[in-house]
Amino acid sequence: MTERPPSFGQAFGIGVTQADADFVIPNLATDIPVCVDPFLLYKSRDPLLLDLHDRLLAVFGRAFELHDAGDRAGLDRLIDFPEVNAIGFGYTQGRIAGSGLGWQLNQLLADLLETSEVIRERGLRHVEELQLLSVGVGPDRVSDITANVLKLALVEYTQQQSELWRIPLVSSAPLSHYLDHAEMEWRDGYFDLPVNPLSGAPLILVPRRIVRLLPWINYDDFYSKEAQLLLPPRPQLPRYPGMAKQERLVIAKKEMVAKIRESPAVLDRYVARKERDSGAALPLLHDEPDAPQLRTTGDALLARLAGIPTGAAAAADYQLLVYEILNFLFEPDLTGGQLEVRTYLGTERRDLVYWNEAERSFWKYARETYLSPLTMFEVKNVDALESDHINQAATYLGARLDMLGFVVTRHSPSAAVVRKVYSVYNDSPALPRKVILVISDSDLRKMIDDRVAGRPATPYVQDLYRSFRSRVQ
Amino acid sequence: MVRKTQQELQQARKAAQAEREAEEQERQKRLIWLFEAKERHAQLVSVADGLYDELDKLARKWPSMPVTERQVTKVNRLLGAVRQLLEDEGDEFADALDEVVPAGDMPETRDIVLILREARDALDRFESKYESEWRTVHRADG
Repeated sequence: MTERPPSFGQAFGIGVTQADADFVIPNLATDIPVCVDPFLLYKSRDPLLLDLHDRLLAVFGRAFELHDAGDRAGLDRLIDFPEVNAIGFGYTQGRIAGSGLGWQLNQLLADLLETSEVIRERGLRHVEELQLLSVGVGPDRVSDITANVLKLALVEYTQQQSELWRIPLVSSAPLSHYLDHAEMEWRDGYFDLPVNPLSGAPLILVPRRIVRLLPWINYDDFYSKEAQLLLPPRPQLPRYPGMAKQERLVIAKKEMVAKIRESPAVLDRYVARKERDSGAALPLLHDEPDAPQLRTTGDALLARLAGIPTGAAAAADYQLLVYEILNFLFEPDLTGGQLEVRTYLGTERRDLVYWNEAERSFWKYARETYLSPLTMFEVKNVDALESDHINQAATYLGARLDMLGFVVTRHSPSAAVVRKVYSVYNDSPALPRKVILVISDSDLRKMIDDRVAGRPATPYVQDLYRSFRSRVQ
Repeated sequence: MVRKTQQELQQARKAAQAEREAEEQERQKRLIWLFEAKERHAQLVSVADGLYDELDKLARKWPSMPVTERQVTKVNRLLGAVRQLLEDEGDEFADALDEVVPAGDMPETRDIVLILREARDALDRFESKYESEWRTVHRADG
């Protein structure tokens, strides 16, 4: 009987599960069939991700320039995207090593630019468009391209998450082929990274908010929705009972790619539609946690919540636990949570800040009503919440962060604290007014129960908000 | 026996007159309030009945269908007016007629029908309380 390889948590001796982690938990033995989708960078409200999308396009902008200047050697050097084995994504069965797009893509891109003047002039609005413009580029290649260009940012993210989850790092692990954005050159270097105990290779963690099963813009989707515009009309034959089904005309990708290159208006139309429908482009993993996994994680979180005492000594533990619970409850609506976030001048420090990337329901309403993509949680591991805690949270709220904030604490607030929360709302000088909602351990427990039972936790917070707004009227 | 002087008698008459005038003013004020409350009550009953009937029709066929933003605006306007009319009546259920806060998800039609029913019942209780006085107002007016 073959022994099952250890899970990521077992290998590093930590209690992380996919239900409460901000990153995609790697499978140490094999690739996970998902991809890094550049469209999720494009549609994000996080300026860091938007900047990464710009950098991704800048690489191809530079490649176009090199081609125009006749610098084929420079083009070959730049357009070089081997598979990033360290992230462990790919559609290869049973191993962590695919082929990647080493030197082939430069040939494909050069071929594209030479044969299509229209594309040369139009440029690329999304890297994923290459799937529709070149026969040899599929979803996995788009993921490789993105992962290569983002590698340095992902290394930084891996180091942050490793510190948070206490994942051991190996000092100066060798990492090849990362992009120096300033020089537009590929470099090799050494970074502090966790190492896969099975293969001995460095591991890079990827935030789940930029991961999908397939890129939002992909060839199969294009073919099923827009390609009919490029195909000759089907003859309308009379139909009668028992008649054989009329076969759809299927054409090879090579032929379709040639047609798209000739008529990029169809590509523009498709891309414009996908941009318009971006609200439906949600991060998605291949195996979202099932009921037993949710139960295990939920029970573990509840047990830890019951075991942490109040007081300053356990404040850090409580803060980390609240972070894990909020991940468990609200990912992917609230995502990219960061602890101990300092303000621009470092004068203030927020306990927990999340990016609000919700596309529906209460969190979307909160982002649009309070005009901020950020949501703040202050964490107070105290026996009794005081008015000063509310005052402190109120000073953090404002135009730069958000006018809606949360205070997470151990017990329900006293009547005096509730009055203070109302007065913060009523004394706000401008609209929208400052809203502070207090979430106690008892609220957290109820929301965990909802999540474990397969129900979303958001309606509970929505009810807290509705109740606040009704009472404060 | 001490006889009141002419001046004292005059003062007493004036005081009694002032008291009668104050009472009359109070009575007039009360009549005006009763009259206005009766008018306002009739207006709100008319709006509440209209909204209730229309939403009840929808709720019978599609009870869990979310209401529209316009429906919420109209219902909230009614609830605010009902609460204002009944604010000094000590009716705890009327005080609890909070405005609907969608907060990202519109409430279901059946829930709005329930709230409208509560508003109608609060208006009925108000009518029962002042019905006899309103009849007096009606006679005084007529």
